[in-house]
Amino acid sequence: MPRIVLDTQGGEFAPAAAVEAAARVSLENGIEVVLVGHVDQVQALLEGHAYDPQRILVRHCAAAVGEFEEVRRVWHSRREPSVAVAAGLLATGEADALVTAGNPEATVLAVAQQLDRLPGVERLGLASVYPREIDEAGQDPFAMLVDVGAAVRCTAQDLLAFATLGAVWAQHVSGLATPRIGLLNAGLREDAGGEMLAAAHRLLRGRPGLHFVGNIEGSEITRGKADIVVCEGLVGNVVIKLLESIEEVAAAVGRHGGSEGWRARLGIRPLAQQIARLKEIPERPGYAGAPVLGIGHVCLQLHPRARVGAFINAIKLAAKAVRDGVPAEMRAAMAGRAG
Amino acid sequence: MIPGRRQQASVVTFRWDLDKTYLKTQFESFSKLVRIPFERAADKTHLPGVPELVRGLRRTAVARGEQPRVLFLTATPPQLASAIREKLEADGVEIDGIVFKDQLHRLVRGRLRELRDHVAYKLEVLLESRIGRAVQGVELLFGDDWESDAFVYTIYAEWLAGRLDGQSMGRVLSRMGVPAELALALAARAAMPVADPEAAIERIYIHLERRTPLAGFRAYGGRLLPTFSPFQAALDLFARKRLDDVGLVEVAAAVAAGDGTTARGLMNLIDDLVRRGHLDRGWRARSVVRLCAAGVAGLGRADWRERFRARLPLRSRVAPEGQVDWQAVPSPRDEHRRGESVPADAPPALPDAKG
Repeated sequence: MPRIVLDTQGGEFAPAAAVEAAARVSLENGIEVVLVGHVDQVQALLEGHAYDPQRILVRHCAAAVGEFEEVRRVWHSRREPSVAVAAGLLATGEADALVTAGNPEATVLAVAQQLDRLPGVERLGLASVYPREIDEAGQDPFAMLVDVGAAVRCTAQDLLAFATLGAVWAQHVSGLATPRIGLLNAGLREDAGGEMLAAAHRLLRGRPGLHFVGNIEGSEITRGKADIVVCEGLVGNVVIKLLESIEEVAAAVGRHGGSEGWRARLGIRPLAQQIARLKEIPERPGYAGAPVLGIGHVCLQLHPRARVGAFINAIKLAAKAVRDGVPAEMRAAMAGRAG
Repeated sequence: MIPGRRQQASVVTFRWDLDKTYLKTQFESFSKLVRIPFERAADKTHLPGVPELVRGLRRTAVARGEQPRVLFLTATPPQLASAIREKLEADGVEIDGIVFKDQLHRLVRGRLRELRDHVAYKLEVLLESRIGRAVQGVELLFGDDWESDAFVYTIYAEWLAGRLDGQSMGRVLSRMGVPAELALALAARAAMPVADPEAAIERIYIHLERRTPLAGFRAYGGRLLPTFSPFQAALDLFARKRLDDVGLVEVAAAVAAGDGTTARGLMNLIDDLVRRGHLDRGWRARSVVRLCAAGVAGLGRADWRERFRARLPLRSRVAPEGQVDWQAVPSPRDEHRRGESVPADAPPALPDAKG
């Protein structure tokens, strides 16, 4: 039975959302959940829900890293935060996978400090999912962007590793036989974007087993051309923050338009409502977070606004990935690449 | 035996509900319900670990020099008595009495409202068992969350403790939806004196067959322990010295074999009781050592070492035994709310109840 460790202290709705999700998952046979958090708080919340104690453990940890806190300062000034305790359970083999909605920087730091990297991995990649256009029925409504901030600068080898690991993940999780890989760049030419991106383009194109669709520009990110878009952490972080801020921009435009008279108000309201749905990504039925790539374990990072449904999806997805042997597949893929 | 010693031995009564507490009765659907009267003893299945628990309690009480009494109280009609007695006998459970609900008698006499009411029926039997009887001793009650066992047992316990008189009981019952004439009759019975000065309810165990959220039981106070498995009841009884080592191991082994509960699952059930403040570290350690020594469900040395390292701070969240909050006790009428999530601090169900 896969044992999934859940960091209850992270996220906007912590710890209630994580605890309720664990309680609900415990009622279905097949997954054991380890809740890392303040034991009294967690237990008091558990008692408000139906749960099965046979499939729930609680590991006490009162410290956490806030969404806007400087992670390294917290690391040195406090006792071990919950995400570090959770990662420690993976390291000692007491758990098989980790799910957190906490500060992503803290997740990467905890994982990087406590877990071994896969062979050939220099830098970890933090993935993020975003909604994209669907060309055909049954297609995954989310595409994956790697890296969104785990490594600020990357080498061409790092981008190849992100693509290789992302492809394994998409094959098992999204059920894509040959996921399409795109390289985020400022042009479509092979040598666009400077030496590092050109080298990455060559590596990706020459890598057997990867379905590389070439460079993609910013305007194509949401159009569904690629299932996995690889880029440097700095760029990915800017892109994902920009995507998330569209809703706020639309709201500001709406407020301005609203002052222009009733016709403008009439037109802008439905548009604004649709754009506001972007904010609901963590509540979409299929949303289950995105993986931290480069380690021999499953680690899912959820959006800080993730609610109960997203936690449940993530726990189940993590368990499925463990059952399907995704970490071993990733190890094999990286070993094959090195060979 | 020393002459006269048996008379001096204190009596301890273990009173059990039958369906969903002892037997795995399935009456969730009409088709399952109509099948019940035609079931033979061999068709009936018990909850894994419960027969072992009943036997262990009797054995331990005898070893303690007490006089054990195992009683069953059920809303099952007496027409099924022979099959049930056969089943208990087959399980090796020795009983001192069993009370059935004679539905036919009620039907013939036109007491139709009493057919569906189990609160008044069970409470009446419990009150009658104490009124005018000299020696009954302490009592441990076992029920489940399907009917209203927590409510009935708690009223009974509070009445026996002298904290709920007949008048107050009538008020509480009326507000909980018990038909007025039945509530009045019970209130009148409750006004009668209890002959046994030592009478007391030591513990109430409610098996969470429906996985009702624990928060719904807070109002009943610390005397009531909701349990997810008979193994949790066994742990608590072991810590209270009501169940011996052998009994604990037998229950654990039966639960593991019958329910497919893994070694991890057993450990998680132990830790759940610790987190809830019902089992202290010392008894936790003793329980784990006994289970490891017996090799129950593959519990090994490494497993319990790992568990000993777990840092589980203790707390004492359990309310004192007699502290029943009648205003917050959920009404037995709220059957539809069972199993739903409830807020950590559930709003009072009875705004002005007294008791």
